[in-house]
This record gives sequence, structure tokens and C-alpha cells, in this order.
Amino acid sequence: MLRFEGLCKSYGSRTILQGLDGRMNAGAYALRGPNGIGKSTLLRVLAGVTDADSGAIRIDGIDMRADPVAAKARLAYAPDECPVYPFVTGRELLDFVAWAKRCAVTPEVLGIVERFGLGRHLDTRCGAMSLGTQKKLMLAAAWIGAPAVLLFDEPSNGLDADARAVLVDLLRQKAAGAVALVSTHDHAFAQALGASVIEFEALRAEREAHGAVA
Amino acid sequence: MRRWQALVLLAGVLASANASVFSNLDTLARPILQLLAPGHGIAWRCGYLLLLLAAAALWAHMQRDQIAGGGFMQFAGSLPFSARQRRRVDLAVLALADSPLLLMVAGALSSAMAQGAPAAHGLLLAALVPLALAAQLAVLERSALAGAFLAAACLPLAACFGTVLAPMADVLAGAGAWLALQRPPWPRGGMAARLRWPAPRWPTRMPGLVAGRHAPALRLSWAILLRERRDETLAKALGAAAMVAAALGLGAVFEHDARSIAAAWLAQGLVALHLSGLFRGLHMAHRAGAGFSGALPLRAGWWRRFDLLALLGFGLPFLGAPALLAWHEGATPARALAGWVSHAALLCALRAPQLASERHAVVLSTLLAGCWIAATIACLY
Repeated sequence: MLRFEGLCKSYGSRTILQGLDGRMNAGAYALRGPNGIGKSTLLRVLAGVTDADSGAIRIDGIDMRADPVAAKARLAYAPDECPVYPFVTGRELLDFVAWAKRCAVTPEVLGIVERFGLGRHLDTRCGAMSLGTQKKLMLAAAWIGAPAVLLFDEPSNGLDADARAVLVDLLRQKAAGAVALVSTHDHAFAQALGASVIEFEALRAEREAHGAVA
Repeated sequence: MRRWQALVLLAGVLASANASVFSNLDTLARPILQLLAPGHGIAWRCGYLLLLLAAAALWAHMQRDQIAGGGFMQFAGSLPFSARQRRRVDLAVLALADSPLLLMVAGALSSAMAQGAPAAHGLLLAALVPLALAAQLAVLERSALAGAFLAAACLPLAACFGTVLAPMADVLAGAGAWLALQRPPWPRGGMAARLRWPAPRWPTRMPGLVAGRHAPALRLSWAILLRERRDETLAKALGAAAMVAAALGLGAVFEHDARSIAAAWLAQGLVALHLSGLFRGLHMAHRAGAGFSGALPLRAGWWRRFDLLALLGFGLPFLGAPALLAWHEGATPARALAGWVSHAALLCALRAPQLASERHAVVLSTLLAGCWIAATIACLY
């Protein structure tokens, strides 16, 4: 469902990603690594927010470089920081994501909104919401369009205990039929998800190992 | 910086029409010099003074976010600076933002001195600077109390104009405003808090006319104009309305002859140029959200057509008013309509130069608008 090969990304002379490989089928995965190693950059590149310098990404079998619109229609991304439009309301943001994915905000998504306790915030502007509420809104929006790949950067950051439990439950259900790749420093959260832990360095080592065999 | 570019460009255009630098200053300072015009009563002068202060306040209001300093100032607020030090920084930033306006005041002062105006007139112009700064701070701090004091100060200034008491009133008002600028903002409690006007509430729902399949995207562009950049949008609307009013006034000056029609088309072009500045804010807001929207299945630059539609929706009434004026002045309905369509197209075309280069946006846009307006007038006149 999610496959990437030889991903490289540099900012000027600083190399962040160097030849990363990965192949993931349905399930939950927790990406781990020290601060600044490139986890967030990897998720941004996989989500198509930032272009890779080289390498290939396939989302649910669709090549990101060849058909980015179709590939992005099959994924959902929630960054750690909340760069959502601060001047739109929660409801407008959900409508916008549904418009972008050419689908509707389904009762399932509205149910997730309710479970996160976002109902009373839907007519509040994102800029006036707390960071945790913004995060919950982005996580709820991720369920729009039934994505096959979910890429969440530090999703448990800023969430209260109830919202965290809801997220664990939702991700466990979703991981039965989709890839849920989360970057996290939160061991308890990863454990609660039942996620396979992927050390960031291992993505690079995999390529080097294959290279050595070849 | 962009406002300075506009000012230099305007001076260049006037210079190309054989107007000297000093006459340019005179032209720029005319709205202020009007305050000194003889033959007006106390009510008119007081009203005009209030109008000038309101214009200065609006100037600061539309740059509120830039003057406030963004997220860093929230952090700086936790550092051990005194209220007086903060006020000095605010004033320095405000003075920098006001630099094009200060040029107008300097032009008015030099022009008044060159014409041998009484010293009291110079004092009144000098008093205008601290009064305007105080009005701007009152708006930025939403202090109705300070606003009321300033409004009250205009009355003795207007009443004493042309009398022996004028110099004393000017010095007192100027010194009072200057002292008010030095003191820290009113404390949050007490009467000042009760007189603090609330931040304006803006609609959380967009107008019903934004409907249809693409409504969520179009609503986003409207939300940028009406919520994110509301001060700039308001200032643009007032500026565009002033241009339409100027075209109307020129029609009367030209005694409604054929030149009035050209003036209407010129106003349309200038309105398009003026409103096109909003493209930058729209673009920047979308860029800021790209960290999230970049992962959505949308083509690069997907917001372009929605920004165009939103700005056209906002600008068409302002472009339509001079079209009606041209029709009223004797242009055939087809020509009036053609002028409207041409300048609506100009508004769309101006998106490219507005975004092509941050540094040269004003010059490039003005060049395109100048050529476009000239071509339109040549075809339709």
C-alpha cells in the first residue's frame, strides 16, 4: 500500500534523507528516531507536500510523481504543527478537504468529529482554536475520502487523554485495511496502537544491505 | 516599501508631465493644505481635522498585523521591558509605517512656508503629527477614551483658527498629544477598559451567494479577503470608492464634456490597479496553508481561479460605477460595457505582475495598467 525507494532530500548542502526505502502493507507503523533526523521531512515527502530530490513513492499502487493528484486522493496527512488556514471555521475546513478529495463529509467522519468532542468548535475559526483542538480537527479530517495511507506526524502531541484514547481506537480500526504510519516519541502511544516500530536508521540500512547483496 | 514605490512612481509620472519636484510635493500635500483654506467655518474645519485623523487611523488600522509584529512580539511580551520602552518601540514602528504620510506633512509645511503663511498655520500642521500618531495608537489599542480626547481636541483647534489664540491652541494640542504618546497604554482595568471598543466581529458564515460545487474553495478565498485581510480589504474598498468619487468630481470640472468619459475609464483602470494589490495577500495566505493543503489531491496553484473569482466579485461593483458614469456622460451602452469588461480583464491580468516579483510588483503592475488603460481609451474614445 505504501512503497518508497531511494528517497533523497536535501536543503542546500544539508542532506536530510539519503536513499530511504520502505514497503508497508496494511497495519500500524510507528516511525522512531532522535530529533532532527528527518522523520517529519520523510512524512512531508511521502505526503507530497515537499518534493523529493530523487526516488519513487507509490501510494496504494499509484506513482506520486506520475499522478500526484490520484496518489494524494488515496492518502491523508496530519502534520505536527497545524498549518491549517487560521481564518476558516472547522466546518469550512472539513468541507474544503471533502471538496479537494471529491467526496462528501460522511456520517462516519461526523461521528469521529463528535467522538473528538469537536461539535461545538465547528463554527470557530481554526486560528481561535487551541492547538489540541486544531490537531483533533486535522485528525478528523484525515478520515475524509477513506484513505488507504495515513501519515501522521506526532499525532498524540497536545491531545488530552480522552482524545488520545479515541485516536488509538480509530487508528487500530483503520489499520486493519490501511497503512497508518505515525512518527512518535511516545512509546506508550505506539504500544497502545500495537504498531510495528520502525527505526528511522533502519530505512537507510535496508537500502545499504540490499546494495551490499547486489 | 510598496507604498514608497507607489509614491515615487506617482512623483515620476507627475514629473514626466513637466511638474517640478516642488509642485509634486504641493500636489501630494493638497489634502492637508486644504485644512488651511480660508473661508470655512468652525464646523467644516473641525470635521476636516477629524477626517484627516480618521485617515491616519485607517492607515495604521490596515497595517495592524504588520505593526503588531506577529508571533515574535507575543514572546517579546514576556521579556522584562517596561511599558514605556514598549511604547517607544511601538512609536518607532508606527513612524516607519507612516513615513509616506510624514512626507505629505513635510510637503505641506514647506509649501505653507514658501507661500508666506502665518506661523500659526505651521504650528497647526506640526501639531497634526502627534495628533495623528495618537489617533493611530488609539485605534491600535482600541481605546475609545483616547479617541474621545482627540476628537475633543479638534474643536478648540478649529475654533481658534485664524484668531490670535490659534498659536496657543496649536501648541497646547500638539504638546498634549505628544505627552499622551509618551505615557504607557491605559491599564486594562477601570474606566479605560470599559471604554475600550470591542474587536469587530466578522461573519463566521460566508454569504449565501457562495454556493455550488466549488463553494468550499471559493469560500476560502472570500474568507481571506473578509477575515484574514479584512483591514486591507476595507482600505482598498475605501480607496476604490474615493477613485470613483474623483471621477465623478472630474466630470463636474470638465462640465460633463467628452473628457468625463475618459476620466471614468481612467478611474476604472486605477481601481483595477488599486484592487490588484489584494492578489498578494490571497497568494500569501494560500502559501502559508500549503503545509496542509499540499497533501490534498489538488493541482499546483489550484487557488488561482478562485482568487480571481473572489477578487472579481469584490471589484466588479467598483468597476461598474465608473461604467455607469461613462454611460451617464454620453458613452453608448456598448462602449460603457466594453470599458467595464476591459478593466475587469485588466484586474485579472494584473495578478501576474503582482506576484511575479515582490520588489518590482508596483512598477510592473503600473506599467501594465498604464498601457492597458491607454489602449482601452484609444479603442473606445
